[in-house]
Amino acid sequence: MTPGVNLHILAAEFTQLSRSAFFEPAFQEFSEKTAESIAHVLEYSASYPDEIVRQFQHHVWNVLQFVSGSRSNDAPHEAQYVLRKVLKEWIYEDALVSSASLNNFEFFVSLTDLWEFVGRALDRYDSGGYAPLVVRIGSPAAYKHRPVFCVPLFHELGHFVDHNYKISETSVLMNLAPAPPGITDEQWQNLNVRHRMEHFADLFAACYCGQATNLSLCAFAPANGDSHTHPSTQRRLAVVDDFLNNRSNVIVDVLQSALVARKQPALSVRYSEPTLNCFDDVLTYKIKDEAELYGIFLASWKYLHAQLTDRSAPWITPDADASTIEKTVNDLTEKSLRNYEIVERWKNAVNN
Amino acid sequence: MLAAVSPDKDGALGTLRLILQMKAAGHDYSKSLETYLVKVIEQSFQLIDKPEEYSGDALSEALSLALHIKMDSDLKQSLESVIRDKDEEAVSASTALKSLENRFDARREPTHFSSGVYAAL
Repeated sequence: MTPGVNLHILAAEFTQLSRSAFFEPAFQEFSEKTAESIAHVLEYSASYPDEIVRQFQHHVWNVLQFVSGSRSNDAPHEAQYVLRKVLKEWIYEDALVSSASLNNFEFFVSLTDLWEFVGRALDRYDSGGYAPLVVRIGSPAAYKHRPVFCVPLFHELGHFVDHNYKISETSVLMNLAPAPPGITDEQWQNLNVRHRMEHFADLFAACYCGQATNLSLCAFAPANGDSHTHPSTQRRLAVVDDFLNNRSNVIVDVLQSALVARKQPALSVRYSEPTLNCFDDVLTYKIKDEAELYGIFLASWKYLHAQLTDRSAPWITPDADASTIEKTVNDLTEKSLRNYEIVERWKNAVNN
Repeated sequence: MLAAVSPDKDGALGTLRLILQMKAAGHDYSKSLETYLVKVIEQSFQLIDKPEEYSGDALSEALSLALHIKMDSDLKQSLESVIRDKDEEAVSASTALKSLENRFDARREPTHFSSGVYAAL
């Protein structure tokens, strides 16, 4: 299929998305602008080298699944809302958090950027200053109403921030021990970059979710060994533990130095853990501030696992199974997050 | 968390590779892309020697490229020629591109190392 034919198909897809209900205005605008840029490339395709048209087409294909997955009836809306808050602490320009709903058990982040490419490569196109940064995160569709299980998304957001500022790569440029026997210098460098990327993402998540980062890692990959892409689970847990307990750790130190070099804020604990006694009465928690907005992920995780083990909450009837308990705790957490968002939107509307 | 996020995936150095591809093929492209190419290459050269001094304002692609150049003096030489030698730029771009593509070839990466290697991390 030629890029031209594909771009016609993609233009129709994005035009349809821009008219979709259940869509945040920011995503509607994104779809409209993307359809507009496709129309531009189709009109001026003879003016652009074939390589640019093809790469543009790849970027648009890639972004499609995330934008279409971000319709609010498909997306983990509350988790996305919190991730947007987190992102604002690191990325100061306009940013959209989009998500693809996956039918498999996987979390990932896609690191290419359509509008950066448009800005650089399509010199005949005037976007009118429109160039949002789009974070593209994939998570299991089954978790869209289960925010407690979305803790790995904080790790994925960490990968995005790392990719944006190249923290892990900077740390390797600045600080790399000589290669040990049995590995070439190049392999050693690559291995360090990859492992530091995972450590950075873990530490980033720990800034917002604390120990829940390690608890979720243990749930997903309890005994993974070292590999060429990932440090062992044991090693990852130890780095996060040292960070949360203010113990000295070489990995933490080299990543913090790279953050300083890249003029970024330090990794630090940014959450406070609420007490969720109200969940015993099947009442939502009134989140006080952003620190608690992050901390509820850890508190809910602990509450859920405590109830799965000792079943002490009054609402747990003898016939309630694990699924009922999980669904109730996720539901209470989701509604607590949603209430905070609604109040914030109300205050914004009143003040403006 | 379960999937690997590799620096080699997802269009790493995608814009740089695209420009080199067009230069190697002798295709015309915009002045802004040429300016970007020169900036990325020049910054990456600075970063190899003094990362602490230059990483603050460096372009992201320059940081990634610096790591590649650090391990490959031939790549450095061909990129130098791309921005300094107008007559040879197409050939140099082609050489640099091949060198970069080889470095992204996953088959060159072993999937496991000895426990001694991991212990040294």
